[in-house]
Amino acid sequence: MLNVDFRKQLEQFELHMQFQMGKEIVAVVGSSGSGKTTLLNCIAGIMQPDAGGISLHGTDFYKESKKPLKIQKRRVGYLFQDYALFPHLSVEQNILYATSRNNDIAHISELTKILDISLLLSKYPHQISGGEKQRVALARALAAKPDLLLLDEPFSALDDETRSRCQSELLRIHELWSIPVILVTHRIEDAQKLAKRCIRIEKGRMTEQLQP
Amino acid sequence: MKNMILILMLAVLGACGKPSTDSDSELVISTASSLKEAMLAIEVEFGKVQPNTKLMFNFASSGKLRSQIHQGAPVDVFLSASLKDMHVLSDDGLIIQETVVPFAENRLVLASLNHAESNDFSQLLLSTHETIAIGEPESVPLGEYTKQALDSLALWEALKGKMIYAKDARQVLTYIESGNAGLGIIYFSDTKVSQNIKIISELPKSKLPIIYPAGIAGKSQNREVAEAFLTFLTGKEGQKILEQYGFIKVKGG
Amino acid sequence: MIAYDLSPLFLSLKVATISTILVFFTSLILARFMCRYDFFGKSVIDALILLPLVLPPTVIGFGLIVLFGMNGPFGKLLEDLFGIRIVFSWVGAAIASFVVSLPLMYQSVMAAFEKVDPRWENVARTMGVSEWRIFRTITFPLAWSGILAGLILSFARGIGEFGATLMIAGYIPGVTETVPLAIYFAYEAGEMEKAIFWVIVISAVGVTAITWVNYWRKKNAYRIGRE
Repeated sequence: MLNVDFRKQLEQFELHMQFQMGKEIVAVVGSSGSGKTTLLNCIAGIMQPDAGGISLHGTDFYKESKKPLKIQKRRVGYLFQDYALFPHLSVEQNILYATSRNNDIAHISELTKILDISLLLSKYPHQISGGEKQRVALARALAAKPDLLLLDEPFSALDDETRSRCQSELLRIHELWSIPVILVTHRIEDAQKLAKRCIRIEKGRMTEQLQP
Repeated sequence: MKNMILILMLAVLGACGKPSTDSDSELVISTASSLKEAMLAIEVEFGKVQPNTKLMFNFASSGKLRSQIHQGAPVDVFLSASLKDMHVLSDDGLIIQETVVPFAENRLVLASLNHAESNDFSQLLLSTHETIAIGEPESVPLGEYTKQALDSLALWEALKGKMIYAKDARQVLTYIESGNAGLGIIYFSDTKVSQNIKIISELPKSKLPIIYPAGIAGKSQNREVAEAFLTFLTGKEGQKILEQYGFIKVKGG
Repeated sequence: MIAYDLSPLFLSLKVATISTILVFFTSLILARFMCRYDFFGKSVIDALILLPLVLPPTVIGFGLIVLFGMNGPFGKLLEDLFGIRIVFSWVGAAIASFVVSLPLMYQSVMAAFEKVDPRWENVARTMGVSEWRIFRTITFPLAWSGILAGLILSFARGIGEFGATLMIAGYIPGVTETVPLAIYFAYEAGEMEKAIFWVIVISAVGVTAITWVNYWRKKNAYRIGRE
């Protein structure tokens, strides 16, 4: 159970988020600059809220007047908007970056199969296409078996065909792993296709609606 | 406004290009650094005799001064710590041969801040772990004399690596005074300059005497004044001051 | 060709290598610290590190003599504790090189770190990877070409250091005679051939270093590529 209830002053407005979620996919929509990425950054620990709290399964990520939990300890998978693959590492090294030698990597082999990136493993990020990067980055975000997955505009750079393929892969993985997923997107169609719940942010204020 | 600027510019130009007259002349004297204090004293006394002459000293090692004159430095008088540097210049016609005159002699001593007097000069140098400051032997006459002296005692090779070379005689003194070099070989006259420095022993006299020659540059525009200065230097008053500063009177000077 | 004693070359290489190694670690630690933490007086420390860049070498030499001379606080301490002598030794030359090349390296490392996109570090953090491992495997490799440029600059500056070196290390042939000192004293003594010999040697070292860096950078840029 992810509990989010915090405030953070941004340049133009105050971001105020308050929601709870279980093991479902929640879409967060809103125009650019509305505070969506800040929300993800606060959950991941890259930024800190000003007040309130964030907790996952009873573990406090952030609580007012307490030291925030280190990013490393939050067990959050985060897919950045433009993927942020390590440019000096191969696809395989990117995906296995956080795993040590004696870790069980069966789930990763499965991931590479589901995401159809087995043939890319020896390539470098500058040698693969946008859709391939997106799938590699997703595999990397899931490789450490996170308790929560954050996706920041994961499909924005993809053409229609690749997008719908990636979306069905995401749904399949979610079915298998059943972890909470927050999907930030500015495309209402993506939200409708993937998420049961949808949170809309405008200028830091949120309204929640169930998908019709 | 334009006129004002013009007048101002002319005034500046006029000030720069003011020709030196007899009543107000400048003498540029390239001087071996070991002569510094003695020469500043002589400047005062000379000023009493020739109040209209301004002395401008340029202190450095004689080797450096020699190469400056070679490169055309505007010098009237050269006061060298070595005959060699003077001869090189007079052979090239940059110093007028007939004007070259010895005006002082010096001797070498081993000195330090805190060592006691010692007679066993060689043993002390060989056994010490201290850095020994000397003049750079190629361009500093003090260094050249030191090298000759140590060579004749067969110490030169043995002391290599312990000896720090200074760029002029005065720097040797600074090295010892600051305590950064425990020992140093300097002119006897240098010990008159510093109160703190103690003489450990005198170096054995080498074959070549340490003679300071003076000479007038061929290009000098103030030959008369320069001659007057040399006369003063080799005369009674000049010699007296040099003696006070630890130099030895030149024989037959 | 007259054969000259090559010890100035070896001494220069030794002094520059040791000072570059020290500068490398010091500036990495400093830059990382300054990048990550904000504290009172940070800009003062920043300015102090960069100060040797704008000071004349004589001021640096003077400062080193005052601190490390036989009667200076550090000079006395090191002599009493370890019997190490800074003044008039090659160690003094290495310290002079260190002080003058630290700001160059520090600036290069800062710029190189700032060029590394923080998203890469943040991604690695969300994957649970320790800060030290992130530094070793992400930040450092991605900043490496900038760091390398700084290393070469520092090495060149270390090899070329003259003013402060002459003051703190002095001129002891065979012991503290680096190539720049050899050139200066050869010129002073009117030994033009010797001076020219050393000028050619030091220029060759410089050209080699630059060529090597350019070659290495091209090769490396090709291998790493860009996302």
